[in-house]
Amino acid sequence: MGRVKLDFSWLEPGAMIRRYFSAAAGALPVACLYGAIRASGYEGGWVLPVGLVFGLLGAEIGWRLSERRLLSVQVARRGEVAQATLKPSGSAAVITLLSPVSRADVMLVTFPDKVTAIAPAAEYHDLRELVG
Amino acid sequence: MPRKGRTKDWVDVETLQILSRHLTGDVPVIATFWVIRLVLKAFLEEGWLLRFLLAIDTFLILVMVLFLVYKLLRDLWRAGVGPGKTRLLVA
Repeated sequence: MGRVKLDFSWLEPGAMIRRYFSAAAGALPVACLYGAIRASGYEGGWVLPVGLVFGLLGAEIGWRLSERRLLSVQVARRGEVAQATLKPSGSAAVITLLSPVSRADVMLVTFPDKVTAIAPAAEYHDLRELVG
Repeated sequence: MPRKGRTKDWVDVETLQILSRHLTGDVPVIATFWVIRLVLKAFLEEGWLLRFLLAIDTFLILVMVLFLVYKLLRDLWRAGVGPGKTRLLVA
């Protein structure tokens, strides 16, 4: 099993904005509940802190769901197409392949929003960290 | 000009990347909710609907600000910013 660390810092800002809107959408149900409580005139002090905790939980769920949508990838090498799992970590992401990768491999990274990157594996500077 | 590999270079590319990614992603979203707030105040009359929508909007602004701070601190921590961690400085 091979592991490749990719640099996704080039991901365009629009993708990040969409991710944050997804996070806000995740917090929306809790926000609606909070809005209804406030609109009814109830002023209990526990509503906001408890709501914020659940709101952040919803935001995290929305964030992670959009992460899966934005960063699911296909990696093509040596003529074969291999599904790979991708786990983002900070500005980088780790792709786990089913077999070892060499520097000569060509990787095709396809994003669902039609942004596609084709590059020889050796162009990724972090390929040095390849674990075979 | 700082040279690559010097440990005392003040430009930390990874930190700047993390800051720019999160700030360009979150700030427009918070600004949008703020504009919605102004529009609601301008076009809706005082009543339960305005209170309801304003409460939702305020709540989302609060959540997104806290979320930004959390994501920013988490990613900076993972990148090596924090006590007891070594950092790779590139310029």
